[in-house]
Amino acid sequence: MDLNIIIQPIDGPREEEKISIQKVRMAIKLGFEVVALNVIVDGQQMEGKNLKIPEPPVIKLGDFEMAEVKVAGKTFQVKSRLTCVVSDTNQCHHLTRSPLAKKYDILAVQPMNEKIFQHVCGNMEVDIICLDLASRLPFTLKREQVGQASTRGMFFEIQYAPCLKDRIARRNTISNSRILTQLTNKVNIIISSGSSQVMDLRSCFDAANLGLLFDLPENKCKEAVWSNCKKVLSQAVSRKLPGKGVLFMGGASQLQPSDQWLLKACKMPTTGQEVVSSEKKSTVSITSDCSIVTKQKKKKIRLS
Amino acid sequence: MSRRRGKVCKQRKLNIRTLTLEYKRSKRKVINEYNYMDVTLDFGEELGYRGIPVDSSMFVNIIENSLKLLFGEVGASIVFDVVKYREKNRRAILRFYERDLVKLWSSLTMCSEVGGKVCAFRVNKVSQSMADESLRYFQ
Repeated sequence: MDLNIIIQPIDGPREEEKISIQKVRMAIKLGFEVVALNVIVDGQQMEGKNLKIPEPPVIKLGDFEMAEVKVAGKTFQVKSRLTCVVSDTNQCHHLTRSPLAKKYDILAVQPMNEKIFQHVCGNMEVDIICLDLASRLPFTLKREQVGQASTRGMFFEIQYAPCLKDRIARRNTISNSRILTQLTNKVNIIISSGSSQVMDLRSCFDAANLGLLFDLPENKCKEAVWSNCKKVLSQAVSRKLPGKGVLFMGGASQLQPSDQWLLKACKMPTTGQEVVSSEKKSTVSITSDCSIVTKQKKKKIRLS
Repeated sequence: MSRRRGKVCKQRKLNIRTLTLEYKRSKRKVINEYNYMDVTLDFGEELGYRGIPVDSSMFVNIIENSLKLLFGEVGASIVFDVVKYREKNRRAILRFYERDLVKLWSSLTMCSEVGGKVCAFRVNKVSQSMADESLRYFQ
């Protein structure tokens, strides 16, 4: 999985689409199953009420591309990702409020100050924190903040594309990522390309092997490329879902035959008492009017 | 005839049973020192980029340079051989010691320029024995 293929705004939408299709085709050829197209937004675009966040990129894959996927017997998905370069708490506030940012599948934040980094680790709900590892970090990372972020389920990103060309960038990425792996106890780390050109893409096994340079053990390298990216996607879906529980009220006679087990599970307790049934982990409470209240996590029950 | 057939079948069954009894699971005791890697040098000619012709000696030189860039003099001292090379495809089989796998592979992925042209090494296969490599690409 590669969750960072950068799409730069080039003049002319046709050229932009052409290049992005080239990148996706190359990703299919190299054996990726999930690819995320990344749109980077500066801090200046986030100021004020008028946000300049572009709409998520859409790519129409032709039959030629999908034929290659079908031959390998795999599935292929293209996700969208928004990365915001943030240097102020106001910008974070605007980002969480904006409806356009919710259209993207994955949300990532690149903090520039120590204050903002602390705010992001403690309060914000994002999937990925990406730091600019190719240059010297503007602040020192602390174990408390990094640990707080990892317990909240955020992932740190290591990009390998900037270290392909420049020698100084390579030196910085290796040293910075070694610090990062030490602080996070070698968990909650993603390795992704961050490539703006087509030829900067490498296959997933190459990326996993590069993890050994960043001081990760062999099993964690594979996790950083495959399973951790899956966790990011699943977390991004759960972040979008609105509620944690749903309540419905209705009479006992209105129950559907599929939900009749609720009456048996209750065994007619006294009024106002709560019973937790073991079958589906749902709480059932009976009120004085003999109406049944069911509560299930992330599942809607409709009583007609 | 029917009796005969029955006898034959019994004999066959017996044979099969004896065969299964004789079968033993064996383990390879000889440990290979070497690993083999199937590599192509890709200039992105399908995407419209231009490449340059590369000899076998130049191919070795590119890998040595990339090793030296990433790991310094220690990396330059890594021993590897080019077993087969096809100039048309720029595809080669490399042989190297098992302990140098990570260093060689990572230096190959880090290589991104040859003679001012953009390029990338694609690793097709890594294996412990020469028999696993498919040689039909080199005919």
